Amino acid sequence: MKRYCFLLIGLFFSQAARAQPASPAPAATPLSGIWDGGVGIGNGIEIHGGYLSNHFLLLGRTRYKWWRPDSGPGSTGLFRQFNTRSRQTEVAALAGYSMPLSGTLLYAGAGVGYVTGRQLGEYRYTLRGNALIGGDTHYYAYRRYQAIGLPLEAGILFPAPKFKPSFGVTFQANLNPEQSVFCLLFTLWSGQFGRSIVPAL
Amino acid sequence: MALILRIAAGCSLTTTEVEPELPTGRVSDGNTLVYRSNGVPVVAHNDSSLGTFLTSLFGDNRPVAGNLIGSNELIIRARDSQNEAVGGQTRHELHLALPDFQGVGTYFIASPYSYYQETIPTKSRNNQTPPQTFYPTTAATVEVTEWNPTTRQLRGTFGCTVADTTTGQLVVLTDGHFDVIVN
Repeated sequence: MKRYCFLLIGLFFSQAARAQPASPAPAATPLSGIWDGGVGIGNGIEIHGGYLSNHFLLLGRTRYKWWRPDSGPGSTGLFRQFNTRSRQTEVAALAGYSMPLSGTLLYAGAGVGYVTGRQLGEYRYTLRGNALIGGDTHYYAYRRYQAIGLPLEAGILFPAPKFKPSFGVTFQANLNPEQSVFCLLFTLWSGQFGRSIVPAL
Repeated sequence: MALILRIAAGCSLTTTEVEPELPTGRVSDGNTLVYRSNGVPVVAHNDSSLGTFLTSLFGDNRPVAGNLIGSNELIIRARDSQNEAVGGQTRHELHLALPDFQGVGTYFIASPYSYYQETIPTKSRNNQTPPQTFYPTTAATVEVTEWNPTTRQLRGTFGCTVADTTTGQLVVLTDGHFDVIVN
């Protein structure tokens, strides 16, 4: 029995030795024609998808962002008067460039985007509820708009070798004549972009 | 370069300035009077929130009240001071006096007992700006559409132009309606 144990241990070490590369790990070679998609959350929420071919990158995203008025009731407090918000929805398509760097994937892009939203103006009136605490609804004049803007995005993606999803951070902007918006989002990518910079074992 | 940046920054497709709708009916089941002042919505209503209850303990009048004085003089008073004090926010007060109230019908309102005031509160209680007072011009009317002497519930509509007799400035009050329990 003791001899079999030594045989098993010997087999284990021989397999481990065989698994070790004889030479240094090959440089990461970008995969071609891979898809990815996921979600992002920060000072806005988004759903995104992308296509990567060599270093060329195509991105599509739809993002919703909301924010408090500059002044007036509802401009302070996290949960207080939650119903008073400016908001914007964006649908955008971008093209850009990606580059592996130290085990991460850097990327940036620009494109064209459609935005629709409302921007709160002056405070008008409050309807008070009968609740003991809170329950107020504040009404503002607002500007409703639709516009074509210039979406920008720059981000970094951290692949997790043992798991398929990758995590990232992205800075997004939409420059348009109605209401330009800037977002910092933490992103989750569920597809293959992370594999593009992880060497195959 | 500026032109390129402008093109790159996109273009507007549609833009609409929107004023919020006026509420209909009684708000928070309290006396309610609403109207538009030069198109801007003004809403006054009573409520039973804790804050309003505590304020009333210190002698503050309720924002909307209807009082029948004597046998047939009806006074409706409404101010939107229950709104949070916001610097630069105009406060509105409206008095509608119907000196010969007989129930459902159309009534002419006139100065000096009917008037409209605008005040811009300041943060300092000791240094308040005096209100600007406007009085109804000719043909200002209130239409009482419902009056129940038993429950003392009064409903109606109004619309008129008021003028500051000193400066001649006009303010148009439109879409006015009220739903009050008369004291």
